[in-house]
Amino acid sequence: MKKTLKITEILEYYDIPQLFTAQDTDGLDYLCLGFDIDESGNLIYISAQLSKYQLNSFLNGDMDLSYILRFAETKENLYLVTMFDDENITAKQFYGKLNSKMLPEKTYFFNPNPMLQPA
Amino acid sequence: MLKNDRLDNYLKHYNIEWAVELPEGCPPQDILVPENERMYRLTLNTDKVTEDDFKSYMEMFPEKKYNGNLKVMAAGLSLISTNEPQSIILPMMKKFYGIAELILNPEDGVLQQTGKNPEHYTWWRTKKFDINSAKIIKNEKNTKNN
Repeated sequence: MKKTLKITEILEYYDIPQLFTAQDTDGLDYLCLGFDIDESGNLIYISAQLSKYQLNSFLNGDMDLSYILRFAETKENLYLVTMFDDENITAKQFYGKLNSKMLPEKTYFFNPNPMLQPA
Repeated sequence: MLKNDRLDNYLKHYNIEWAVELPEGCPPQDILVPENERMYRLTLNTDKVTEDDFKSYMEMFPEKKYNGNLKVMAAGLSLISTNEPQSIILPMMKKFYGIAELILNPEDGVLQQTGKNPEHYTWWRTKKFDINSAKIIKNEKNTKNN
């Protein structure tokens, strides 16, 4: 079943939104990481549906992005998200295994205050 | 230095041509005009800057129709302003192997701070900008490779 997501915040841009948070129509939270662009130019994201606690931990810089995605994989809470544009985003449950293309190559902790370098 | 300005005013003072055809409302009216401003852009190669490093998402997918903020952002290029370019971290860095340093002046285009990261800017460049003026600097990856 496809869900419709609405962006709550874009956390990282690089030419296109790389990492953003979103909610579905039931108010569930998602963290979406861009990893591909299809032949039509639609942006493809791997997304973890996650708890408020996890989301806040990530946003406070306390939780690694790969950890969140792998945790969601164990709970079958992964989604493949397509951004047709920033007002038209759909999510479909992803039952496959995470591969290296879908994951950051290094640990990534969100920096809530980028003017301060992480220790 | 980055100076706050209005697009109309900028266009009155500088006889510029955008590098690509931009959609309506792009760049936005509230802009920053660079003057001898140092910025960084990630590159696809460790040792050289190419035209491909300066292609916006909209240039890569000209047939795609965009709505919302994406329409404005997709026509521009991301730049990062930082004192520590070697420390630039993005969640997905896989396709980038180098970092180029750019010194921008008014004729090179206009910027706007975009996104949550205050160091991130979107740049709408003009034809005047010479990509050969971009200088590759060392970074963690290419230091390891060389």
